[in-house]
Amino acid sequence: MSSNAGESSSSSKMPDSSQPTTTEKGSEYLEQLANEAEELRKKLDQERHKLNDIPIQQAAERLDVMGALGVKQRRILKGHVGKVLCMDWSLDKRHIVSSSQDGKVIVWDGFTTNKEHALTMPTTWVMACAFSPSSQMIACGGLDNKCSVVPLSFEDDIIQKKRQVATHTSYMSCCTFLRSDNLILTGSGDSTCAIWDVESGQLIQNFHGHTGDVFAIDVPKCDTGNTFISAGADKHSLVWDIRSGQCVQSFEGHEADINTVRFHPNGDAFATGSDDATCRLFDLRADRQVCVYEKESILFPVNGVDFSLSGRILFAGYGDYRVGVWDSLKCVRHSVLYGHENRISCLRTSPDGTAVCSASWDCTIRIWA
Amino acid sequence: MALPRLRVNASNEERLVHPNHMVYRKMEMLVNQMLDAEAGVPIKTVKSFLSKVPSVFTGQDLIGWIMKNLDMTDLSDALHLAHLIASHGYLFQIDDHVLTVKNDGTFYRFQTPYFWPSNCWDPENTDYAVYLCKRTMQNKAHLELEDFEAENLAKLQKMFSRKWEFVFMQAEAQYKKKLNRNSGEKKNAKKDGGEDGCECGIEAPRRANPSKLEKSTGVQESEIMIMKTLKKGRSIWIEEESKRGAVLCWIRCEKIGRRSSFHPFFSLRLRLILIPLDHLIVFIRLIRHCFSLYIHSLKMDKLGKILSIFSRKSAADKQKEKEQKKKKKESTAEEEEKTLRVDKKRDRQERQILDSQERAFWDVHRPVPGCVNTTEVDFRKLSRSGRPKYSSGGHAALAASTSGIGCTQYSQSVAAAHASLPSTSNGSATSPRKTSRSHQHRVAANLHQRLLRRRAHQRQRLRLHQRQRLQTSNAGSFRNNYYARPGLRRCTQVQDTLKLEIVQLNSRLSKNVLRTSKVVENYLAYYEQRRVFDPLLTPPGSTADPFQSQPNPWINDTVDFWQHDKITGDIQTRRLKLWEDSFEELLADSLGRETLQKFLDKEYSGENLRFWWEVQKLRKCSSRMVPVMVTEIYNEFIDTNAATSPVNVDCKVMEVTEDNLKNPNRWSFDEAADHIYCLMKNDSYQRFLRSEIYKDLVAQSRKKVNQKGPKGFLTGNLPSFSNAVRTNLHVGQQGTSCSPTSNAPSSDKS
Repeated sequence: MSSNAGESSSSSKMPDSSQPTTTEKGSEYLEQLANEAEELRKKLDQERHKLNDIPIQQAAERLDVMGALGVKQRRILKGHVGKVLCMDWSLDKRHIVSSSQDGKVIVWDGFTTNKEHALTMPTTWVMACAFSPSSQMIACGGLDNKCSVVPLSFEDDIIQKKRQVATHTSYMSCCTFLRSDNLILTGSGDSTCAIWDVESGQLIQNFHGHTGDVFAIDVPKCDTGNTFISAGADKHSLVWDIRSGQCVQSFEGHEADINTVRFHPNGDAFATGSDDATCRLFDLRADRQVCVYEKESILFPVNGVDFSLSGRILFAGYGDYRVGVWDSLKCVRHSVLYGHENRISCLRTSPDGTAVCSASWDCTIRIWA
Repeated sequence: MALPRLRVNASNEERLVHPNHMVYRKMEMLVNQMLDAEAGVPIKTVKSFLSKVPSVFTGQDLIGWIMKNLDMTDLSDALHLAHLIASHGYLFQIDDHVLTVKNDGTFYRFQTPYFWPSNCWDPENTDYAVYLCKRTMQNKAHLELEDFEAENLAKLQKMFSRKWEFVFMQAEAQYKKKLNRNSGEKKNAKKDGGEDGCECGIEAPRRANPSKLEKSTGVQESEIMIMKTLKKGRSIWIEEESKRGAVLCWIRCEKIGRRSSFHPFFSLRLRLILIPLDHLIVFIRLIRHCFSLYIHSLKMDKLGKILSIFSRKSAADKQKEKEQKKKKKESTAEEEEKTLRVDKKRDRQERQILDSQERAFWDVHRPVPGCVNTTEVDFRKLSRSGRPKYSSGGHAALAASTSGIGCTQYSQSVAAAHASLPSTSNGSATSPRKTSRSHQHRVAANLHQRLLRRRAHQRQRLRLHQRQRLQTSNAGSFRNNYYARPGLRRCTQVQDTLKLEIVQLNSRLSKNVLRTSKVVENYLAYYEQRRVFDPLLTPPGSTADPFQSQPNPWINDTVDFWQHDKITGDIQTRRLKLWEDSFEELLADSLGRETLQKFLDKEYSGENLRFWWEVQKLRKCSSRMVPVMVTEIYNEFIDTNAATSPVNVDCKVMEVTEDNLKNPNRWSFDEAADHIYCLMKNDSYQRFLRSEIYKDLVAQSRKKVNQKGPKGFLTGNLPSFSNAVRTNLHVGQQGTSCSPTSNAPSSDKS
C-alpha cells in the first residue's frame, strides 16, 4: 500500500513538471490523459482493496501448525573458488550445475558431491546457468552479455563444443530452457527478456516492457500455457505472453529491486524476493499481491525463493547468510537454516521436492533435506 | 532523533550511490536506536587494572537489547543479527580484529558514523597504506601490526614503491598531527580543532590547507609534469610530480565495467590532493586533454565548477577566515574554556577511541583473512546503480552524471572548502547529547553533523541541477515519467502510451478477479491434495507416508527412492496416485502418457493424444523444424479431406486453426490442441481412471507394497496401512470427480 501512495505522489508531480511551452495544447491534452490514467489507477487500487476480504492468515486458520520439519544440511559441494552466483537442478533430481564469479561453471553429482564437468568461461561473474530438460546440455552466461550452450559428454573436452546462442546488450542475469533443449529464455540487464532458438541462435521473440534490469525469470511447471514471469530493478513483476511478446499482467508492491521470482507449484501464483527484505506472494487470478512475508529483524535482501512441492513451505535465501523457512499459508517464519558463511545468491527446490539447494558467496553449495 | 530522519531523506541520492544502501540504511536506523540515550544500549566506562576503558558496552547488554527491542525469542537469531551488525562495522570488539559478537561480558564499542560503510565506500589502497604506515610509527603495544597487516603493508609497499615516499609523508603528517593534539597544546588544539578537530586520518591529507602545504613542499616553483600515462587494461592513471618528487595531484580514472562498448560505465574518481591555484588551470586543461581522449561523456562544466569553487575560495578565503575568527571570538568565552578544559586524560581517551574506530574501519574494508568482506557488492547492483534506463530525464540519470562520476570525491572537496564553517552552527543540535552521552558520542555526533551538512550540500546541488534539467527539457521529463511505468508497450507518441495505459487499466478494472478468501481456498485445496507428495512435509517412508515409498535419498544415502521402478519393475503407488489426482501430471509423466495412449488406442481415440503430443513437440521444437512439423501435423490430423487420422475438432476451432495456418508458426495448432486437451480431460481421462489398465497397475503396485511391508520396519502396522492406501485412493477418486472445477482455471489459461 505504501508503494502505491508513493507512486501516486510521484505521478501527481508530473503535471507540475510539464510547464506549457511551445506545445501547450499537446501538453494539456497529455495532462488530461495522465489525470484520467491516474484516476483509473486509484479506482483500480480501491477495487482490488475491496476484494481483500480476509487476510490470508485468517483464511488459513483451520490449518494445523507445521511441525518440526527436520530439514538439515545434507551435502556440501566445495570446489568453487569464487562466489557462487547461480545454480540449477537437472531433471534427473541429483545433478546440479553452478556458476561462479571467477568464471567457472561446474556440473556436480549432488548425491555423491563429485564434480563431473568443469569449464572456465571467458568472463567473470557468470550470473546465470541452467540445465536443459534432457540433462544433456547446460547454458550459462553473465557479464559477457551472451548465453552459451555446452553439450555435456564424457568423451571429449566439452569447452570445445561451447556455442553462443543469445546476445544481449548488457549482462545476462538469468536464463532457463523453455520446456525443451531447443528453446532458451534469457533475461538481461538491458531490461529485456528474449527467447532464442538454440540450434541457430536466432531470436524468436523478445519482450520489451521492463524499465530496469531484469534479474529473474520463471516458467510455470505446467507444460501447457504460454506465459512466463520476469522481475527486476523496476520493482514490478510482469507476466508475458510468449506468443505475442506482450506483457499481459503486471504486479507491483515491492519497495526495491526484485531479485528472484518463482511460480507456486499450482501455476496460478508466484513468490518474489526483493532487496527490501521481504518475500511476497502474488496471485495471477486475483491480479494482486496476496501476502507479504516479512519480519522486523530481517534486514537483508532475499536472493532466492522457492516452494516445496505442495506450496505450503516457502524457502527464502537471504543476504544474511541464512535460509528462512516460511509457512506460506500462515505467513509466519517457521524456522531458520544456518550454515552458509556469506550471502546466499540462489536457492532452488529439487524437481522431486526431496531437497533444497542453496548457492552462496562463501564459495559453497549446500543441499538441505 | 532528527538525525536518522535526515538520513532517510538523503536516501534518494544514496540509492544510486551504494549498491548495499538498503541494508546500510536499515542497520543505521537500528544502530541509531541503540545509541539512544535512554532506550539504547547502556554505554559505560570500565576500569581495568590501571587504566580505564571508555565508552564500551558488553555483548550481553547488546544481545539483551536486541532481544527486547526487536521482539525476538530465539537467542541464535539475535546473536546472528548482532554478528551481522558487527561485521558491517557498526560496532566492534575493542581489542580484536575479528568482527563478531559473543553473548558474554566482552567489551564492544560503537563505530562513529563518520566511518560507517555507507559514508566511505571502497577506500583506496593508498589510504590503507598510509594507515598501516602510520601504525608502524606509533610505539604502542596495542597499535602493533598483526601478522596479516604486516603482510599487507609489505605488499602495498611493493605496489606503491614509486610513491612510497608520498605515502610515508602523509602518514607522518597524520602522526604528527596526532602528537600535537596529544601534547595538549592549546594553540594547536585551536588550530586544528576549528577545521577538523576530530579528523581521523583518512581525509586529512585531502583536506589539508593548501597554503600550509605549499609552504612545506614549495610547490610554487614546481612544474607539472606528466610522469606516466598508464593504460593498464581498464584503468588509466595519470600522475604528476613536482620537481622535488612530491606528488602533487593524482587523478585516477577507472572504468569499472564490462568489456562491451554498448553501455560504458565509468566511475571516475577525482582526487585533488593538493593543487596550488595557479596550477589548477593547467591541471584542468590536462584533465580535459586526457579525458577527451578516453571519455566522451565527461563534461567540461563539471571541471569548471571545481575551478570556480577553488577560485571562489581563494577570493573569499581571507574574508571567511576573518569572519570565522570574529565569530569564534564572539562565540562566547564558554566554548574556549571548554576547549581549555580538555585535559590530557580526556584527550588520551578520545584518541584511544578513535584509534580503535579507525582500526575497526579497516577491519571492515580489509578484513582479517578468513573473514567475510561485507562491503563487497553484487555486480548487478553496481552496474545498475548509476545507469539510467529509459527515463533519461529522471533522478537516475541525474545522479548518475553527478554521483557516478566522482561525485563523492567532488563533494568532499566541496566539503573541504566549507569545512571552515564555524562549528557553533551545529553546536545547538548536538548540545542535548553532549550532556547525556559520553564524550565519544559528542565526537561522533560532530562528525555526523558534518557529514550531514555535506550531504545536504550535495542535495542542494542536485536540486539545482534538477531544476535546470526541468527547464531545459520539461516535455522530455514528462514523457519519461510515463515511459517509466513497466509493462507498457512503448509508442513514439506519449499520448499513445497514455491511451494504451488507460485501455489497459480499464480492462483490468472490468476483469473479474478472485477474492482473497477464494484464492486462499485454492492454495489450501492444492496443499491438502499434494501434502502427501511433498517429501519435506510427509517424509517418504515415515509412518505418515501413505505410499510407504523408499526413504528420502538425501537423508538416508540410498538412491532407491529414485530407482523404485527399476528395482521393482512396476510403477510407484505415489506416481499412480498423482496421475489420478491431476491430468496434467499424467501427461507430464512419459510413462503416464504411454499408458494413456495404450488405453486410448483400445478406445479407438488414440489420435487425440497423439495430435496433442505432436503439437506440444511443435511448440518446443527448434526453428528449423517448424515448417516440417506443421505440414506433418496438418497432413496427419487436420486436413479435412486427406488427413490420415483426423482429430475431431469443432468448426469454430477449425476456422481459427485454418486462419492461423496462413502464417504457420509453432503456435498455429494451439487452439485445436487446447480443444482436444479439454475433450480428453473431461471424457477419456475419467474413463481411463476407471479402466482395467489403470486398476491393474494400482493393484500390482499395491501388492508390491504389501510384499515389501513385512521387510520394512512397519511389520505390525501392515493391515491398517494397506487400508490406509485403499481409503486414500477412495478419497482421491472422490477428489478427482470434483477436480475439473478446481483445475479449470489453469486449463482455461492454456
